[in-house]
Amino acid sequence: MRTISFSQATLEAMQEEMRRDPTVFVYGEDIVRQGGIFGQFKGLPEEFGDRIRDVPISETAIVGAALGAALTGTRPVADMHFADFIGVAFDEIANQIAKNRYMFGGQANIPLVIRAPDGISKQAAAQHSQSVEGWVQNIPGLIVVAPSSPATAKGLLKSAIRQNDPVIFFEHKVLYPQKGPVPDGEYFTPIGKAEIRKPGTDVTLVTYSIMVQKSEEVAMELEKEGISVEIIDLLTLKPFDTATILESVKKTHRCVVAHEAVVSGGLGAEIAARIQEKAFFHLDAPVLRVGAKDRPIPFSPVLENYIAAQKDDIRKAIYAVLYREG
Amino acid sequence: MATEILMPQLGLTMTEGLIMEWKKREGEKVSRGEVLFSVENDKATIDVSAQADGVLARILVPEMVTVPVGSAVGIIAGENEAVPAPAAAPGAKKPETTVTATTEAIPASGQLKPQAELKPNTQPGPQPEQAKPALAQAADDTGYIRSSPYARVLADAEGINLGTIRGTGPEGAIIARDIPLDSRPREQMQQLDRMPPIAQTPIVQQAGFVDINLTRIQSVAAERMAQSWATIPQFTLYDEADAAAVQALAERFKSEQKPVSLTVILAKLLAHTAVKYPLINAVWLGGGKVRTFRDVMVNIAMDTPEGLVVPVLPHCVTRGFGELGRVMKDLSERAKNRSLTPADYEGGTITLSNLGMFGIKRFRAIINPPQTAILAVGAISPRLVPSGSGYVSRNYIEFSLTADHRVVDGAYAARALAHLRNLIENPLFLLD
Amino acid sequence: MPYQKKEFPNRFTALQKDAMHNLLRTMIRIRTFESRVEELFLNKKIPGFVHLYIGEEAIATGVMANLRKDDWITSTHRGHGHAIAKGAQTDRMMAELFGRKTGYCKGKGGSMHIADFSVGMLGANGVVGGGFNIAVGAGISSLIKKTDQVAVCFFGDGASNRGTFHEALNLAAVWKLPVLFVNENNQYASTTPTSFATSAERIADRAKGYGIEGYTVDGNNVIEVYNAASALIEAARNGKGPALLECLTYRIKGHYVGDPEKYRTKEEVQKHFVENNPITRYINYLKDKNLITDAEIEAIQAEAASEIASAERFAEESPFPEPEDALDDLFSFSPQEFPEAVR
Repeated sequence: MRTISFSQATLEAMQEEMRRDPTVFVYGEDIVRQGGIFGQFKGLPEEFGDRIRDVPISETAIVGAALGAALTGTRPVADMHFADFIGVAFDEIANQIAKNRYMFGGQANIPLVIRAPDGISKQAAAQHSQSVEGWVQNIPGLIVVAPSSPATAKGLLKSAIRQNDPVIFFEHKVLYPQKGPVPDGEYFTPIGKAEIRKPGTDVTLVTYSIMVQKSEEVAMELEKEGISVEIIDLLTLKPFDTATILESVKKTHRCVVAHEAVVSGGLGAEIAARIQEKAFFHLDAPVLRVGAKDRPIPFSPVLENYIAAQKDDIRKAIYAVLYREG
Repeated sequence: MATEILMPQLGLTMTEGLIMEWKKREGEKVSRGEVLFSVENDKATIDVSAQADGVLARILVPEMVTVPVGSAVGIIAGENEAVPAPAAAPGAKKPETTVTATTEAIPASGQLKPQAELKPNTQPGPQPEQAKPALAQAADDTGYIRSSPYARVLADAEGINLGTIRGTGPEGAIIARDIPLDSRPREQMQQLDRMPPIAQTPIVQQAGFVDINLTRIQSVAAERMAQSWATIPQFTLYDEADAAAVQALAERFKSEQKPVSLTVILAKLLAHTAVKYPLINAVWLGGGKVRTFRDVMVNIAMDTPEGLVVPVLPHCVTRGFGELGRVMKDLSERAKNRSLTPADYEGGTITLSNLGMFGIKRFRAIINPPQTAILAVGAISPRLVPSGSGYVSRNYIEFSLTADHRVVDGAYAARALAHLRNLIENPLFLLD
Repeated sequence: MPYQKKEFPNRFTALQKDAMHNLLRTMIRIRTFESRVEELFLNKKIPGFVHLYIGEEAIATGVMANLRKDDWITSTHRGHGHAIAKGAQTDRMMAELFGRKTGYCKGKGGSMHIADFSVGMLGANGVVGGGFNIAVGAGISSLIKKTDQVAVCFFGDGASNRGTFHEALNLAAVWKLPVLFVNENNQYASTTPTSFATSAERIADRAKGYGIEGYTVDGNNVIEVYNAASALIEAARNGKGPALLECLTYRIKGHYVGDPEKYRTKEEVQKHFVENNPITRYINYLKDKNLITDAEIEAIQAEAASEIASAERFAEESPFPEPEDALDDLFSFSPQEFPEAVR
């Protein structure tokens, strides 16, 4: 095991996959001249030349062309700069990428990755702070993943590049500088499989991305109060690992879902719905969701903190499903 | 707005509570969260905090009086607020109540008055207008009983009519914790709960003898032990094991400054044995039925200044040694300062009693009903064992398993005990 | 519609007679297919809705005659002609229109989503302007894999007003991608005349904004289309970058079969059909030059009629998909491998 940063981990994944397969290439705004806004592409131009490219500010073209490239025998990785800009290219994602394989009767694979740095970081305000997995949750044909650590970042990015289907890779901006243990040598984090970060018996806490570490902190604190929280790190947000969630809920009988995205129409809603569909008679409390209030992310730290979900919100939700006074 | 202080429900089976001590006097200011009084129920003594800010306007139930759950025991009012007096309640500072204090009621012989007379009449006369039902009942106007889906499933499995359960969830809904999973027959449980309260010390002393009144906890324990002894055909198997490995493990945790005692290690080893031999991790349901559990929750017998308490060390298989050690440390600290809560006693599936620290070499323990087995552990002591042509000194630990012969036969218990012996001698593979 | 005529080298004259006949054959096959599709749709044999290529056959034919099988095209909602010209089989196309299991998309696509990846036909597209970036991506693919494959993007006059047009042309120009953008200016975007909806006088003029070459040709003259496409595709293949070719044509049929066509007169349509029919014009040219006989023309027509009749029979006799086939083909893995992916 080595200790490296999240951005270094994604860089290693890119290097390994680009060395292995000459049809893997990456392009996006400001990734050659700047090395990516978080340094996650540093060194690739020297090694891979034209296979890493800066593009005009044309998200629609970036994403749409990734589809054309994937359909014709290459494995593009398109960087969105900020996940918020997916909105610019939404038709390409929703109507082209997600549907091409299906509507053409499975004639071609679509091995492409859209890297989308998301989340609240450094008071970037309404158009640079979003977690937009909810936007794409409703579209059949996409795979959506969100690593929570350097190790899962590398493993998931490698899996995403090898996947013969479109994958949106949400990487939380706050995670980039964070360091963590990463296995030596080549490994893959499987797509579609959640990981249990911490076993527990009283409450199932389903979460992903940045909220995993917040959840872990809350769980450690609650452990002292005798509350045993089982943390499920989803890793793949679509199609997510319902089986692991259900198995856990059937054990704990209580569930909280925590994400940074707004609650309304979010992933938590889908998870809660599936739990009540498939494990209703195991529930001792309603499934509670923790997420941002239904507002854009405001600028001032005071406002931002108020809108964003905090550790205390997770704690309160856990108390609530246990019917404890918090 | 005056708020009534109600006798809280502090556990599954609590139907009434004894006011041990008022920590505030009438007229004294109280703030939300501050301790108002302490209550003893059948399992523990618990401090009860104020739910509102204000002044303790009136104490309706004096110390050492038992009242049903949900009864008003006092009133908190705003400062300078006139407290509406219940019709028959006295307006004076010190309320006269029709309650008979148990301290006065106990005759020298120790014979108790029938419970009916002890039931206090805390709200004599017409109820004050704002008085609400103590706890919202689970059933609504239409007779629909609010409950969580899981609570319904549990109640169904236990054959319990939800209408007989008092809910503690939101709006009085019945939730899982309200369903007595303990499978003692219901009447028996109610009987235990109805047992007359016994005033805790002071000891009544007269010429020539001393009468000691057991605490409520002690008397419940006494009942249970008698019940166990009288109704369970129990037998005991004795064994011993080389203790070197568990001692080394305990040392290792000590050097890592982890609070993992020998008792914790043995509890976990017992738990892993119980998973393999589920009939010792079970409760007797009666009627030819026994329920085994997937999870192992080990009751640990603990010595406290107040006497024996047997809280539960939960999830001994799934939790690691370190985590169990921390939980155990917390349990024993809270046992010492009397802050164990009813929840700490819930859910035990097997019991461990370790008297090794007193130098007791071997003993048999009495089954903690409705469980089917208990492990008694003695002291570690050196002994000479053959080695080559001579002898070497080895540390041995003795232990015994007492089991319910209605459920467990001798060979089964012997196999379980052999498994445990093997684990004690080779505990390392359980390390995570 | 005045425009600057660009004289491209006349490579058509270098073609063998067979190749010249093949251009006619393709146009007639498209016309026959489309005419029959119209009848079948009106007879309720074909569900959904269809957009016909009648009157525009010279463009697909003239362009595609310059492409290799491994070159790519992206198409539009009016894509049957592109598919046929690129080499797709009419029987599997017809089966798709009938919603049958043997169709190109196994009944999942229908008229607007016919694709045949085996001949580089990357799909008709139901979103106007949906093909631009796919063609650009194919061009990138050619660059990354260091091949000399070319991508051609067909698009209508309406699509040139979409953002994808501008982003795609800019990116293709910046990276000098081997992409030819072929505009089929059939005068109407659905019901809206080009003159109303498009600010530029000529769509080809928009090329200037991206620093690439843009030309306008008579899209109903297959020879003119052939010569222009030949030059521009060769340039793209040789690394000279993208170009924009505007082909002026006229949509003889409504936007879709059943369009009440209140936005134009029958006389206008009839005039174009009589005076500007690309097939008639080409036949007249070949006959003028003694490059074809009436018997040869009749043979081509008979062959096409028989092909389309057998395509129809194939479609009619093909089974419908099983209902649960609707769950397949979303991902590269099967639902069995990954049950949660397909609930």
